[in-house]
Amino acid sequence: MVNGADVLDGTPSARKGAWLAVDTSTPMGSVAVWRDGLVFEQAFSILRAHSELVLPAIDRALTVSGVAPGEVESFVLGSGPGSFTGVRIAASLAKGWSMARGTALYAYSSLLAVAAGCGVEGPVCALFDARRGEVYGACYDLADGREPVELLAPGAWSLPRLMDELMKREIEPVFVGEGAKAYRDDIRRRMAGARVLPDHLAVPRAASLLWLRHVAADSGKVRRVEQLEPMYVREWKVAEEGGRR
Amino acid sequence: MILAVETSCDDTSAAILGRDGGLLGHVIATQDMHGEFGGIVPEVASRAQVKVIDHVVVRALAEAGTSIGDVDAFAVTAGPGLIGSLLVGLNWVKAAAYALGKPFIGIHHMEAHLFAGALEDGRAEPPFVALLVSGGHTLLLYVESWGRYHLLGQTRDDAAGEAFDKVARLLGLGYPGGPLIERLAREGDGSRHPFSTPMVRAAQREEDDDYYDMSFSGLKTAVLMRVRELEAEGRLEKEVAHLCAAFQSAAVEQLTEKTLRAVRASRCQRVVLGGGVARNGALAAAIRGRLGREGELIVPSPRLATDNAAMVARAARYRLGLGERSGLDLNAEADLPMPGIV
Repeated sequence: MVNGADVLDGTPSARKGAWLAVDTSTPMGSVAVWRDGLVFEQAFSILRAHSELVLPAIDRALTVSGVAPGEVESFVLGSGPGSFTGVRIAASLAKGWSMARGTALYAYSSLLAVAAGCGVEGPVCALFDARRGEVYGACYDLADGREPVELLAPGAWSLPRLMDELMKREIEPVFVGEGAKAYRDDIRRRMAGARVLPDHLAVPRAASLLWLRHVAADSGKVRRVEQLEPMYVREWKVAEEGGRR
Repeated sequence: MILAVETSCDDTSAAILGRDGGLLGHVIATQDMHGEFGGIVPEVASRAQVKVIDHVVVRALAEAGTSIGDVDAFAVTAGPGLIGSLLVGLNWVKAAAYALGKPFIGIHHMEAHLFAGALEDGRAEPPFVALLVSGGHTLLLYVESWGRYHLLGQTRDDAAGEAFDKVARLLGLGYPGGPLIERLAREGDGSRHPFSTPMVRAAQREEDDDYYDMSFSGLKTAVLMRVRELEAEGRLEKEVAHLCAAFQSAAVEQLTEKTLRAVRASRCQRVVLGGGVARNGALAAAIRGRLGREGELIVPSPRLATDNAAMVARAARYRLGLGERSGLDLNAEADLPMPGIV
């Protein structure tokens, strides 16, 4: 469990509406609340189910921040990719909240949340372990105080194919995320001198989603909440599961 | 006013129950893409739940002529069911209720089925014998009162509806199998392929542990063996309707005999059916015939027999009336134990 408070870029001012961010795409879930320039963030492990922990975590984050649920004016969602069940949990919460209160909804890739949270300027490649020998990966060009530029859209890749694509596009990024951690040696073998950021930066943090809401409000705004779906990236192959009954 | 949501399998449903217990709005969206896979694919079902849940709730509220801000309490199916599907409704409802500062409660799907009849028939009040038969469950209960349930029997393998689906697949009929088999069975002669009734023996006594339990797997295998024989003889196509009649007859006889055993043991002449297989006309006719003039059979209308949020709202009305509330940590459980079993 990680608790922390920080100052989000922005001018603390008279009390106004708060922002709430949630990500449950990976085994480490995260919620964060922003108000008056202050961020409270809480993380929780999937060792107990996200569905059991996420609303108590939101409740604690709002309470500590002195925010009533009705004062949340923006709900910021980490929309995936990641665990199919995990991304649906956060998306369902976001939809229920937004439909109930008419709260503005913003959604960003959880890969972007990891990239944005690593504190690096320049090209960053965020990777999650997608299992079955693949990673979920995306690349962004990051700079302080401005909206990230997407260099490679989120997708499911085998590592060799992803590395070939990066080299073809002449992108030499810094690597971050649990997928980068899992394939660290492979990455370094295929891209000499590649920098893989340490494990503590591998998690998509809800506080990073709040920062994205700050610098990239327009591109993250969900205009039709009822049409929002998680970012699965990977299509489901029915043959793998078959009819249940 | 209660807003209930049900997403335990492949139906997405929302219902609004008024303060007087009247059903004000009720919408069920059924996924129709599973037929091509020959059964429900959990990941496909879960993805579809996320797609439609907002539309379904909005339509139910519009039908009730109300807004979500006027809802006094929320309810949602917490299990049993497909975990991916359950989690969609559960998290949607938890967030909506929390954001509005309203109470919410998780409801057991099979307990909700017990309440379905009470939504439209004043006689469907305890005590009664309940036979809940669907694609996922087969339960025989004596409902002594609301919240006090005696579990008499259940299937030891496939659920009744599951058996109908599997046999339909064996016969190349499509999905869901129940309505297809029932329709063809009307044109068939079951006596051409007599299958023995599972779990029913001449000298069975109440002390026997299979007195109330049911089984459909052996019956399905018997159909499979017969299908192979007929295929080898090149006669399968002409015998499909007769096989449907024979399978349905054995399945219905088992369900009916077990239900009548419960009626005799409980001395309760009122029987309530629930679940998708309750829509099978042959089952209702057989139980009604065996109950005789002194018995009462209550079969919910098709919309309330299958998975729906109205029954969840009605069960929630009972549970909320007892002062029960769920906590913020409410989770979905694929095998949630039924409350009130005594």
